[in-house]
Amino acid sequence: MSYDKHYLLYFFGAMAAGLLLIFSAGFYAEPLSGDLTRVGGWTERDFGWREPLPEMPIDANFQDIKAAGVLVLGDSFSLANIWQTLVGREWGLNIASHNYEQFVCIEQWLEMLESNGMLGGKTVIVESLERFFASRFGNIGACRKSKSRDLSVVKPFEAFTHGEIPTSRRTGGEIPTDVVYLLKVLKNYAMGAIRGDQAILPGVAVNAPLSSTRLFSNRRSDRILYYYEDDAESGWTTEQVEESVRSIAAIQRRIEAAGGRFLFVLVPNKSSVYSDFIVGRPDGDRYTPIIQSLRRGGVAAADVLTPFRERIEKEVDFYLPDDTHVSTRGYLALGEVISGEMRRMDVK
Amino acid sequence: MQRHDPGNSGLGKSFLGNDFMLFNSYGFILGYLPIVLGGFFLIARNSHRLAALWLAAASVFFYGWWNVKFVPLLLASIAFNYAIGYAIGHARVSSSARHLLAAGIVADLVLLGVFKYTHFFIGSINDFFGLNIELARIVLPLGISFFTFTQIAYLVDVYRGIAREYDFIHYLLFVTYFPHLIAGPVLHHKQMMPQFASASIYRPQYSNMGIGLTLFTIGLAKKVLLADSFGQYADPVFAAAKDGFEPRFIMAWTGALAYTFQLYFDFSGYSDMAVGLSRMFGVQLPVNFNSPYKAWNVIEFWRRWHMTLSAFLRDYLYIPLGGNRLGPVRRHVNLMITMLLGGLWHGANWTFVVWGGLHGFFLVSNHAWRALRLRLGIPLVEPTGLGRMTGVAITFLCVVVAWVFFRAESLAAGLVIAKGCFGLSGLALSHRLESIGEILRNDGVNTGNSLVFTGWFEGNAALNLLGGVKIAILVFTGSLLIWVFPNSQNLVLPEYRTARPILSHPRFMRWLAITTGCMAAVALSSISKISAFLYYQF
Repeated sequence: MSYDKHYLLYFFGAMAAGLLLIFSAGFYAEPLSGDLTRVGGWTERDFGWREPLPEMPIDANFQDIKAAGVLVLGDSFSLANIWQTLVGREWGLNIASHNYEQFVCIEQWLEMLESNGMLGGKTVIVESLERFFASRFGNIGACRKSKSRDLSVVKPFEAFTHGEIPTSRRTGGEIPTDVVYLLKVLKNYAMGAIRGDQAILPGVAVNAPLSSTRLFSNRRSDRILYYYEDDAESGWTTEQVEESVRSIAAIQRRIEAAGGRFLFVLVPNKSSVYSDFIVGRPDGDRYTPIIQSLRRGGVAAADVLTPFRERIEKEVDFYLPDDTHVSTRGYLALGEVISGEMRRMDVK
Repeated sequence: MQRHDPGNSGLGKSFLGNDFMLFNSYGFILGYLPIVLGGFFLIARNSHRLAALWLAAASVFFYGWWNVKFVPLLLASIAFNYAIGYAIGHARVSSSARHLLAAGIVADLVLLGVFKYTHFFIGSINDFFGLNIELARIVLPLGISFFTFTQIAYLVDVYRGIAREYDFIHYLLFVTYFPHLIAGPVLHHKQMMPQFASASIYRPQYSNMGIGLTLFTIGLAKKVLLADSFGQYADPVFAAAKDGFEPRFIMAWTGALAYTFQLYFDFSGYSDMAVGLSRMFGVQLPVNFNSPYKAWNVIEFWRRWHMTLSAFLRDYLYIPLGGNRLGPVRRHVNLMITMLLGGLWHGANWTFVVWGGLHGFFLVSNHAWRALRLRLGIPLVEPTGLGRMTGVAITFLCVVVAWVFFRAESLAAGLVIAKGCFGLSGLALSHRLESIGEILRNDGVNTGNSLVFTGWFEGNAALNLLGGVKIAILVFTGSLLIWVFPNSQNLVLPEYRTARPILSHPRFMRWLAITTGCMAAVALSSISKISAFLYYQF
């Protein structure tokens, strides 16, 4: 046999069989929607939510920084512009949001605002997810001076609103055919079968048992997915946390010195919010001590964990079961918390 | 929240836009290729010339899809060089031919210089003299280096009497032929024209189809499954260095090695795909890549890496400069000039000049070492066993260090990564090893800033998310493929397999067909986030 007709038959036969197998597995797993199912190798069949979510208004991100009433620097929890829409409508203010990825470092964002005289009379909100607290704020002085001197005005990002915001239905539209993902799914199934129902299954997305099945609407609502990096918080040193607190206090002082008001919003990790229900999760509330430490340091910091914990039992799928982000129910709550803090700050 | 996070999968992307014409895109594999291949053999039943014209037109379409604005430039360059070549070939006086050749080469180099190097020169002058000369943005036409060099070689070959055929359709096809147009290999007129004139390429053959599909599949798998996976580790390290972050030992090596493997599998994959695609049409392209990391010295490395470009630089630059005919000093100067210009050929940036300079230095050292051995009466035999392994390891390390500058956005970024690789920025370890730090401190060792426990990837979220296990598996797999297994041409091309009869055994062939068929299924289903080949930018 050489490269003849039979060779091609074997080649195409194997290719067709392989594609059939891959597509069948993909159809079974269902189209991917959440980041935790995707990176962790878990199926939407098991972790895609099934209860409808409330529809939400989403306004465009206000582009004129000078004319904005509120300036935001945030991560993926701000990227969709959902909580900003709610806060903006309630207060009748225009909100211009930037993302950390638009700058080399926070220092650069601050310099841009300061040097262009954009802080006077503004409310400035810095939003960050809990798991990034130490890495994001622990060493902000390391930002290279040379990079910080670019004072040109960076426009607020375009709000990400085109059909990808999960509202009533899941948003993934493509059958997962990536073999690496499907192999991860297979490995996870095998690991689950071997270790049993009560085991915490490690990985980029940890899969842990829950003591209640009423928190989420997905098929496997007896389990929760969260990022493994949440667990790495136990490795933070007190010095790292304190350094971060000092950095944020310094940011607040700079903003206030320029005539602005400052609010720090630390969005808790999914695993922090549901920690009381996660079977076998080590008790390590990092969030509350951070907020207390921030407040002791004079920082205006919103406690988001307490109201979130109060609501997770009342509202199914408060966080998305397949994703690290909150659902629209969660965004509504986040908007309320931030509005409440602004009320306390007496923003006009 | 799909858009915010890495790692995506699924079909249905990039049927529109420039990605359509990447070799590793659905548009190319399922649309363009079957149409062009089918059309070629159907038309060839009636007319070979029309079939060649069809293939040339399809190649121009392929080029135009990337940026239709540059099609007139490409066609003008072809028409100009064809006319000059024709005039050189028909010149009655040798001095006229020489003048025409000089005019042709100068015009080609001016074209290349204007599009590729204007910004570099002006920018360098601005930096050096503190000026602020502004220039309108010039967009680099895709593949301009390849089609310019191919045609310079053509003019020289006509002048030397090596190229003698003047069929315009075949010439158009020779320059634009889509498997090589964007990223090589650099072709010679004499390699291609006889093939275009041969009746055998106009008949579909099972053997060519089998070879072509197998090589193309292996190349696709290298690109999609390996190169892109390594790239996910290289990119965050070089991006951090660009922003001024100084990676420590492990992170610096992660970036340097990941890019070394990425570039290998990217270019090797592209070369396999180009040769395989061409073979489907019955046309044999020269092999461009022959396990370069198996080289036991840098001289050997350059005989195995981008072989057609190396040969071009040797034949049309190094030898005309005098080669090794003018004594050892001139030879070393010529080598340095060749490598510096070879570096600059890859891109208009000082990082490429440094990369070329490093390789020039390695080559000069290699030749000096050889000369010393000869003077000491030690024969220059190919090493075996431990001697060979040592040579391969040293060569590989030299190549890795040079790749750091090749990939870095700036010299400063390259330097901080190199500094990290040499251990000058300290060592970062996992948080879990904090106890080691405690023990050292209790013993009075001042670890200072040189030993920190900020995680293997020092808080870099992109790398932490990918994890260390995956890169370890990737490096292990890549190492096996690079250093243990036979390379793709030895495995697939009949003309290379003769040394190992077992590779032509029917059972092996069946295994090869089934394995590559499965590989095709995996690679096809994994084309989720299409990425361009690295050599497309050179």
